[in-house]
Amino acid sequence: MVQYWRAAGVSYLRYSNLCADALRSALKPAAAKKGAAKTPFSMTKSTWEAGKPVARVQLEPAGMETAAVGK
Amino acid sequence: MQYRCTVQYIWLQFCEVWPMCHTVWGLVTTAFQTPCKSLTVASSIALARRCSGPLPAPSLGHLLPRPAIAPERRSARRLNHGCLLIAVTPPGHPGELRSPSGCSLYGPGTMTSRVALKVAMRAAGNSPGAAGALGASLSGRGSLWAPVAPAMASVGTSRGQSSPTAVAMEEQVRWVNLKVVRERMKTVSNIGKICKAMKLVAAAKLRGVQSLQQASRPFAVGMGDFFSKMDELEAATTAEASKKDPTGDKKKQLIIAVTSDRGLCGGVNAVIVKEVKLMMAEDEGRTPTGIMLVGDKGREPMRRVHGDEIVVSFKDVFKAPVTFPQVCMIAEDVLSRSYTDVILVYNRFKSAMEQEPVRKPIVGLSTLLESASVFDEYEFDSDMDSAQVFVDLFEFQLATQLYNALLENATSEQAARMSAMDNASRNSTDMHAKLALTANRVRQAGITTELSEIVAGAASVS
Repeated sequence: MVQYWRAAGVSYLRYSNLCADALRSALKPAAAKKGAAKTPFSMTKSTWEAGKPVARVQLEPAGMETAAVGK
Repeated sequence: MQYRCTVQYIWLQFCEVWPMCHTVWGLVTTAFQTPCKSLTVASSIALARRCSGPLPAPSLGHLLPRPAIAPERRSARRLNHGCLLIAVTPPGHPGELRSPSGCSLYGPGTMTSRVALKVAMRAAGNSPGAAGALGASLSGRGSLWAPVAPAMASVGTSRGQSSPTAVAMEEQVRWVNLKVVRERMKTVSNIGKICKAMKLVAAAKLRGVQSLQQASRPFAVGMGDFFSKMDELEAATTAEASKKDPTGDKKKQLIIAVTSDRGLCGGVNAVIVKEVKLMMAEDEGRTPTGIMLVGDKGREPMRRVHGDEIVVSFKDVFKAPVTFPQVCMIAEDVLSRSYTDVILVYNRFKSAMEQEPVRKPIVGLSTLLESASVFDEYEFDSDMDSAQVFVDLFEFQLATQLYNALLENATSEQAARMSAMDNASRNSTDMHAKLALTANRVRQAGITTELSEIVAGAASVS
């Protein structure tokens, strides 16, 4: 039996992160404060071709906005 | 006024001839309150060349005006390493240009670079650039002169031979070098303060990131232990694979080089770059290799040599403390590329003083699936395919090892920065102490010269 999320093309890492997000958002305020607050990050990914960066993408945590609103 | 010619032979062993001439000249000028038209210099050409290299011959004319003495008395005697000074003094003068305070005006090595500067200015006329160059060649310390040249420009332009303003200008020039040294002292101490502050910041950050790194280690070690069985198996399978595929065509490796985003942290990044280059050299291009750069500092050195191999780079990874979701994004990028082997290269944190570069190969998914039988002793959920568990496990392991590697490297970076900044601030303290000594010496030399000029002036008047 194939897991449904994998069938939908989601990797284990993404799946587990989504689950963790869901759990965090379900926590009561007191516990949410205690439970690892997600630190915002913003990194840049550059794809290279023939020795030169060709594309640049800004990576930010998925659903960060909701997390920020939750706080 | 009748002038009597006195000939002084001054033997010098070093290249301080021009400044020496100038001091004597200055003494005469001050004593008589006239431009010294009666002092001339004849120098050994060899010496002039030796002192300055491109010392321009006409500069002699600027240095000292043509002598108003009979040619037969102007006997310039060449000495091997010395020069001849002919001084014309008024009647009643002792005829010796000796410093009244007894300071060794004539001895070798008594010239300060400040005096050399004044000579240079005189020699170069109103051209500060030329004066700077000449001053540099005279003192033999090029670097110290560069900042003086602009200061001289203002002093040198309006200088007359004997006007009262000229004397005032000379006074300014006398302290120029001291000003330069003091400015440098200020700069050095400011940089020292910055280094010290950076050290403190690095120490504070080190504590934070070290606790994260220690918390992540059990996960990485646990996963490593679990997969340690694989190591032998992997060796077996690779041997088998090499039998099937001797050229290693199917193999494709990804090197993940972990560096820092910021510099000023000792050799932490250089060793990683070196390690990756070594790996590439060892492989000799047999295996198709991709390089992933995590952190910005590996980018330039890697691009120069292995630019074509770089497939992707991440920067600003360490801006905020590294989190697992962040690492998952990098790990997913690795998963999206089809590589059979993944090798992590990072600095392992041993202690605040010691970090070592390590290569950590991560068991590839294909190898894992091929050798799944090793894990037969474990029980799997009946409704789940064990292969899927392995896929999950592989992904999780990749992210965990990457997370640990990033934290180890971040800890090493802070530790290295701490010790580098500690060294730098200590160096700045040493440098400041040395400069303070120089400044005091220059100040005292200035005072001594002024005193001797005053005393000589008083002696000649009385």
